[in-house]
Amino acid sequence: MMTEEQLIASVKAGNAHAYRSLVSMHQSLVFTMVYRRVNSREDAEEIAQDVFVKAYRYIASFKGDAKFSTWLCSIANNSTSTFLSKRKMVFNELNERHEQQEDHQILSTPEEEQLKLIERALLKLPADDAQIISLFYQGEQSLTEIAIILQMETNAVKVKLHRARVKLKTTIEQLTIQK
Amino acid sequence: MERDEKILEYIDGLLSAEEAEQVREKIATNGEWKAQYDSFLEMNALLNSTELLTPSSTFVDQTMALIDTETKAESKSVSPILRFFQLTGWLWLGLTMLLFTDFNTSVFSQLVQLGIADFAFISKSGIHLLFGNSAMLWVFGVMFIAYIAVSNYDEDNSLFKEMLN
Repeated sequence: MMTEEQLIASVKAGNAHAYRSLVSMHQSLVFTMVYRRVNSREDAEEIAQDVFVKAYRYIASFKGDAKFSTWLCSIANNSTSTFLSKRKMVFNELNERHEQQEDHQILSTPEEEQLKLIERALLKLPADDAQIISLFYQGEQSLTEIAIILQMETNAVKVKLHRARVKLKTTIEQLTIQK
Repeated sequence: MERDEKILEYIDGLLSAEEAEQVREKIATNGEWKAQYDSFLEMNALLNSTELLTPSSTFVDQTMALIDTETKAESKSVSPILRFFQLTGWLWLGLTMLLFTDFNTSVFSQLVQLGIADFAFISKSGIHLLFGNSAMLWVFGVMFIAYIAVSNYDEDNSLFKEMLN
């Protein structure tokens, strides 16, 4: 089993098949990051595929200064911004649609209920807040790495993440009361 | 609020030892701090247990197919200079075959006989100067076709491979 570094080196040497493993390793991260902003699985898949094609094309420029996942998230963030500026999507309408879909789902175990509650709360948050929370918790990116991805100062990321978490907590409380 | 920020930084482990101690003390002595701390801690645990979303099962295959298509398109792309020589080469070969096939059955002959074209303005010596003698031209023609075939050779999906199979 090759490590991530070995796979990257192999792709750089011209082995396209090694890239399949890298796509498999990072597909969920890139997909989630994009989905948090576009709120559509179809669009998120299309953008995420575009991200991996771009990353393959420019992999020679990846020097390993940051984590490969950070580099991918950076490309994903730029690609999503370009997509959104082209489409000028209305998030609120999409959020409502997703909430309706969630409401129809049958909840099972308390743990699953809690996870679905988090997911619903994330959908209610502004896209940027949901993305920064996902990057920090699910993407396991540090504040410095998030700053690279979002092209922001680390302190600004810290403040933004703090505000996003407080908003999330309030949203969870509201949803719990509604239930 | 500063309290929430401190609690979150405490949970994240971003505070200095001295600051962390101050927050620990506040949580232990102040009910509001304790309630808020427990609430954030619970949310943190939930967020940490949340997994990444997964794309469709065909995502990797589709992505690799896109990359494959792009790689093939790049390998097939010919530089404008080479393309120029290819086109002029084909033109040259075509003209040569037309001019030096038996004149009575050639397309030129048919055009002249039908009165559509008159090639009298091209002197025989001029043609020979441009295209040399016919035997040599056929040799050059075959070499040129071979050159084009090699320059367009596609390793994975070549005409040669199909012919061999």
